[in-house]
Amino acid sequence: MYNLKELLVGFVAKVGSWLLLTIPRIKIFCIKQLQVLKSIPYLVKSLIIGAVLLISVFVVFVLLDGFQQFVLTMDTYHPGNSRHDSTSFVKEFKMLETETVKVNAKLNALTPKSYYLIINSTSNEFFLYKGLELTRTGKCSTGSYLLLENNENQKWLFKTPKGEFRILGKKTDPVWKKPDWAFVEDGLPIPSVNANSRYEYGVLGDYALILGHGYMIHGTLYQRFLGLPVTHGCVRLNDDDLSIVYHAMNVGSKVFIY
Amino acid sequence: MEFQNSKFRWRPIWVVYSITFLFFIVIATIAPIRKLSQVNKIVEADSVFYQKNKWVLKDEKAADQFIKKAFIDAQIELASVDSIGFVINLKDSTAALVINGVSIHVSKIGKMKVDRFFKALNPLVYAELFSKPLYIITERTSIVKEPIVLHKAPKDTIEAMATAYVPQMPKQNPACFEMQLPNDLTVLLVQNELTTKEDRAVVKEYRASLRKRKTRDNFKSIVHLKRFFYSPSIIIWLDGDEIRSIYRALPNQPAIVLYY
Repeated sequence: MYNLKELLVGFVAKVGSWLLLTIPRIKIFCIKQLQVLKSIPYLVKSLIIGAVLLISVFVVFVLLDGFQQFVLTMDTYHPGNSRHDSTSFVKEFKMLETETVKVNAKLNALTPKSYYLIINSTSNEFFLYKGLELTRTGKCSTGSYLLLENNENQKWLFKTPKGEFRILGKKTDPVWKKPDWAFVEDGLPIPSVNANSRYEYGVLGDYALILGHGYMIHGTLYQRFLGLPVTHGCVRLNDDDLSIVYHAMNVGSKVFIY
Repeated sequence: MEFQNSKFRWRPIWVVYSITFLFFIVIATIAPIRKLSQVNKIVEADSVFYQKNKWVLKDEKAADQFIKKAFIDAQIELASVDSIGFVINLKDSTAALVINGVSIHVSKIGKMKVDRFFKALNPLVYAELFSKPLYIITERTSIVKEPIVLHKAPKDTIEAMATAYVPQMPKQNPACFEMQLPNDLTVLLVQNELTTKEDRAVVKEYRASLRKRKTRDNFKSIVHLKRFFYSPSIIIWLDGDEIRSIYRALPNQPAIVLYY
């Protein structure tokens, strides 16, 4: 194996000694060239200077990266490849393998073995997994990122939260209790907390899975909008997908939204 | 006469320019190696860790296993952070979003350009640098994190019907996402299908910023001489939608795990 540094130092020394010996010759050569340059018009000289500067810039900005990568190639780490029959090496290697298997098992244990749901709120898709097996995928609708503002400076941002959640409850034939923003959005006055007008039937589909803080996974009357960000924060699925997800997931099952 | 004067004016300038230029090239070219040796010294300074694990350096399989274990350790530590993290596995060519140890989104990397600096790291140095998640220091992106649309509440139902919100997909900018990590490391995610001139211009701008950083490092290495500056980078090409999903999922200052 050669030492790059020693080679480099040796090379520079050789070049330096060659230069010292040939400087008088270089001097004569340069003087002759300068006399030739005397006859070249000013425009051409300017072009030559410009070209040299451009080439320098090109080297600095483009080629230099290549030089650096090339030099790193020469200094790449190369582990030994000799067989190691020493008892201590074999023992250490076996311990390392055992530890790797242990930590890998610990990492794999973090993935739920039962059903869990993953929702991509950017592409509005859902994925139902059981362990590592994908059992169902399809379109959904998530938050619209609409910022609703009324005249009293009240604001509501309709976005689906991201992170890990658990199913806190399941409902069949859910009833929607309309929050204040639902009236503000329609240009209606906000009724009292338990007014009858707050309750809407049949708009959430056949099932609902509760995620907490007012967010749910439910059905929709607007199935043509599935795949678009149109909701007020909840996740909407079509009837078939909702039925499968509802029956697969239990209270406590995990839902990952990103 | 004019030339006589210009001879005295221009010749020293050319000599100085040539010497400076050559000096710059030499210093800049060896900067990565010097940076590598500086990084190696950090690990060698931790003599307990180095003495305990230097046996790994003798064998390629042991080195690979050591690096793999460092990767798994980093993922386990990432799982303890209760937010979405990002795992870049260059060996398998995948980029994944992970939360609490569960992979929730895996993207296939189309093409990648990895600085040879990483290949030059020995396993002990690699483990020291990458056996824990790295937190993004700064980020720059062409993607809007939350495409918020302001909607004024209507005064009555007639106005509500007239200004009803029509759902549509927002216009998507070409996706580029640049992350600055500790140890001057840069990871750049770039959209791989660029159909318009404007898209290509945005991507060029991000890649040019990487080159500018490297040139700035080269000049800094010359100025400081004893300290060498080098910013290794990884460029990954992914689908635009994948980059958008990844960027919008990640929280502020997310954690990243890298495996190479």
